[in-house]
Amino acid sequence: MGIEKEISRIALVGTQRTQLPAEVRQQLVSLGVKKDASDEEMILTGAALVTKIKKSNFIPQQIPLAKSEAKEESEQVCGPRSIKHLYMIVDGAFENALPEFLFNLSKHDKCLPPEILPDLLDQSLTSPELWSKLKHSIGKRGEWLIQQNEDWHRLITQTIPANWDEASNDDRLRILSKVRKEVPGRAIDMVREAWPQESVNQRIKFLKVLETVKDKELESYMETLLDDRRKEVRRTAVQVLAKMPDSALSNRIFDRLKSLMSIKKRMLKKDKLEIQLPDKLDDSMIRDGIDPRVQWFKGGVKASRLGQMVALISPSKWTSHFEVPASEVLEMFVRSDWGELLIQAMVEATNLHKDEDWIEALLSFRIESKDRQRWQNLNVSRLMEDVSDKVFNQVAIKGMKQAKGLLEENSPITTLLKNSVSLWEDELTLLVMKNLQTWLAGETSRYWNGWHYRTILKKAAFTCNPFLHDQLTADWPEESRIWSSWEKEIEEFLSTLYFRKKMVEGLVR
Amino acid sequence: MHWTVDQILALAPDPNTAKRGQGLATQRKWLSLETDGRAVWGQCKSSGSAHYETAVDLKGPAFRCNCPSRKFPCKHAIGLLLLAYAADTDGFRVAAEMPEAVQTWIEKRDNKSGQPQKERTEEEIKKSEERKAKTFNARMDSMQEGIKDLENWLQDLIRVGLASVESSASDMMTVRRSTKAHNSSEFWNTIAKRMVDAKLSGLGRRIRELSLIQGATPDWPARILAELSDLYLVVKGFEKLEELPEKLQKEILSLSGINTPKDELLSQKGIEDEWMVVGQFEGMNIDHAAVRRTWFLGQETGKYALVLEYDYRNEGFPFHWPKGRVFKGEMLFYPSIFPMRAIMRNHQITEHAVDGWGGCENMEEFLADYAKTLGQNPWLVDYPIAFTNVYPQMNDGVLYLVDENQKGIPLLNVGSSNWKILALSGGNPIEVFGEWTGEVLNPLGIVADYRYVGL
Repeated sequence: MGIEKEISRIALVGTQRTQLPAEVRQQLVSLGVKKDASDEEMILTGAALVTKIKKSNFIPQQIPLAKSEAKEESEQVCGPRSIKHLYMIVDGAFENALPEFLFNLSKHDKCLPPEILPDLLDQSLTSPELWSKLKHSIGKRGEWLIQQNEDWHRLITQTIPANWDEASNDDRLRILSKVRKEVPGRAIDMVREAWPQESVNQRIKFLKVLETVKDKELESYMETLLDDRRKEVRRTAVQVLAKMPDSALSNRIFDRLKSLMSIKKRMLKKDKLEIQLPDKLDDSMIRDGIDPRVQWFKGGVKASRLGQMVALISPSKWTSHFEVPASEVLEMFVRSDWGELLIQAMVEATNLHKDEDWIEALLSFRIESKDRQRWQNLNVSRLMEDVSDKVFNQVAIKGMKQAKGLLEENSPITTLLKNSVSLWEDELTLLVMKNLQTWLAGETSRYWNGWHYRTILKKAAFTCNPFLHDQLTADWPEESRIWSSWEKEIEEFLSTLYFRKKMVEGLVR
Repeated sequence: MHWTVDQILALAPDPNTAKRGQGLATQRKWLSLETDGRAVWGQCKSSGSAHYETAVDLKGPAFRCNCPSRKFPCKHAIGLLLLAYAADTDGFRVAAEMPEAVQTWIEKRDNKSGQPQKERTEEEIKKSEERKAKTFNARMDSMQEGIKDLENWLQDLIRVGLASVESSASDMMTVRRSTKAHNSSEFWNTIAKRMVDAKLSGLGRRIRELSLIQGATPDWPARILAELSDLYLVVKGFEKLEELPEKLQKEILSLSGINTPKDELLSQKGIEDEWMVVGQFEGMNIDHAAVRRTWFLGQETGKYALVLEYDYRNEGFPFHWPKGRVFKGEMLFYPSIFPMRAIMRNHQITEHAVDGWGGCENMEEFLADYAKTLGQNPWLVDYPIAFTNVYPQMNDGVLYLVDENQKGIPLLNVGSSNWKILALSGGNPIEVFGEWTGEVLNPLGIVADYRYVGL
């Protein structure tokens, strides 16, 4: 309706600056506005009429019905109670319970209610971790919905661009990853060919892709890269080779290390590992990644060279070499003259090789060690990120059994519990709660806040078995002088547990 | 009736209160738990030395607690109701009589919800009527002056042009040498205050709300002009008030700010039905008070009712209308040409959940009804409509609701609401309730597979 725009324009400019055109007046009069009305009256009455006429004459749009229906659901949508729980999770009251909800949903062959899908699909676009859990529970409705929104297509279609030469950096990585899986040797040739044109960062990303298949060809190629002019490339090649079992590089370094170590038998004491620091650093050692100048271990550059070598070697080589378990190797290292150096290097090596036995050995060593002052700077928190549920629980239970009274804020067991991503076994949960209850019962200082216990409680609320709820509601020292400072946190912990219990029960039905 | 955990949790004002309420649904948190069948009450231990006295009137339900929480119902009330119905506890002692405070509260509630008032003498009634007439006449005089003032202001504004609004506002800011306290809303507030002084509070509020439109979208001048023209219609209507039909007179008075007093409404007979909560919208008004619009649809009568509630003191809304539930009660409508705004009396939640409604299936019929209603009431803003057997269809990035004749109306997209509707439909017909603005449907509730989902 042109008249609507015209009167809006005049209203915007003002009638004192512009006159209402005669044809507009005529049109407004024909709509029912009084002929003798002033311009202002005409605009105000006319606008009212035009708006009402426009609304009254709204014409629905002709839209062909696309007969695209979602397939019938093969899995049952979770029940009303579970939907309620899900709303409480996505509304933020128990947001950390989402992975557990999705796990149980998939476990019981149920799928999500459709209305929740759009928000979760949107979140999945930036969270591959969420998508990996969500995709099993979207049902046929979710599959259909993804087809309706182009933005969500990339969640399900891993289209690999065909043209390597014209592909973007990210696409090139995807192409390379696919080729590396299907024709491993071709992938190395592709990297060799592309090498001169690529930035150092992209080259390193290529090497990380190649590393996914550890074969002889890769080793040969990485050996050539030990002579690359860029330090970052050489360092990456060293790490890739070090992680390859029985690569020439790791054997060379291990042979050098063995030549520096010997066992000294002692009559009344345990055997001692004698260590000779590497005096000279030849070119082959530098080529194998040992930096002659770096000083990251205390004890000077020579000690640092030893540390660098140990940090590259797979920890399992030591257990095979000495034919004793990891804990005994650690004892032997501790008894040597370079105990701190060797243990720190073993933490680095374990972190590089992700060796589960050694993660357990090192965490246990750190938690159980009585010489607190000696090991206070030994940082094992990176090992905690890769710990399996089993090892986490073994180590934490041992640590809790040893703990006497209050857990100290910076103690390794506190750090382990605070940072855990593992599910807590019942024994561990009961030990931690007993410890807290005992401390609460005896503590009298209201001003001591115990923030780390609050963090542990928050962590435990989502990682321990929710069916312990009934058992855990008992034995809280409500008569304690500091109970009022803790009641809220304990209540929160118990109500989270209760919610999770009901949530899991709801999904079983 | 028996309440399930989900029903009780749905009464909580937010997920956190529901969560904390669940934490209190254990006997050890309570010093006493009692019931007489009509209500439950108890003393909940607090973290300090005090105890909170909580009561729930099971007829309703309604809640009372002396805790300092601003959430309503508070966690204690939710916990108490959970204990009464959902927890496996027999810890409630059956009491012969209620504590005095609970008794008084229940009596007050009974009186409010329609118990007969104390009878007045004839003379008292006469005096009261005379007083009312005098007050009304004085108010009308003041309003008429205000209407004249508004008419002049509207015409002046069109004369100088809407574009001058921004500069007027900035001029005022310069004069007052203010930085943040004064913004362009001052321009609208000045005339709005004059309207309030002239007892035209309804018009004053509408003028203040214009500041929210100004500059908000590229088409703001057209939108403001539409609003101003509506105000002008009120002005013109007011000038000929006595010549208009009674219902239109009441409509204009109501728009101006004279609403039927609640007492008067309560003295009338309402419409009994089982009322489905088909849509609900919560937001903030221009005074930063929480506003809740709850739409009901009568199962038998097919009538729509809008219960409008404000929470100026941040105390929570007085009643709870969980979306998708059905309430039995008497709906009392404010007089209007197209009565929609209402209050509910003697309401009681039923065990039923909304699983569908026999709504409109034809877009052209719906639009014809709308046009007819708009013809009767030109100030109609949001028109409620429940559709059945309609298909959400995406067309050029806009979601339409399409009937079997392939006629579609556009849907407003708030957040991810359009995708939710599409997800619920899965390409199949659904039922949708929403507010039609004359240009777009604001969807508030969906029924798909016999399940209600609020948007």
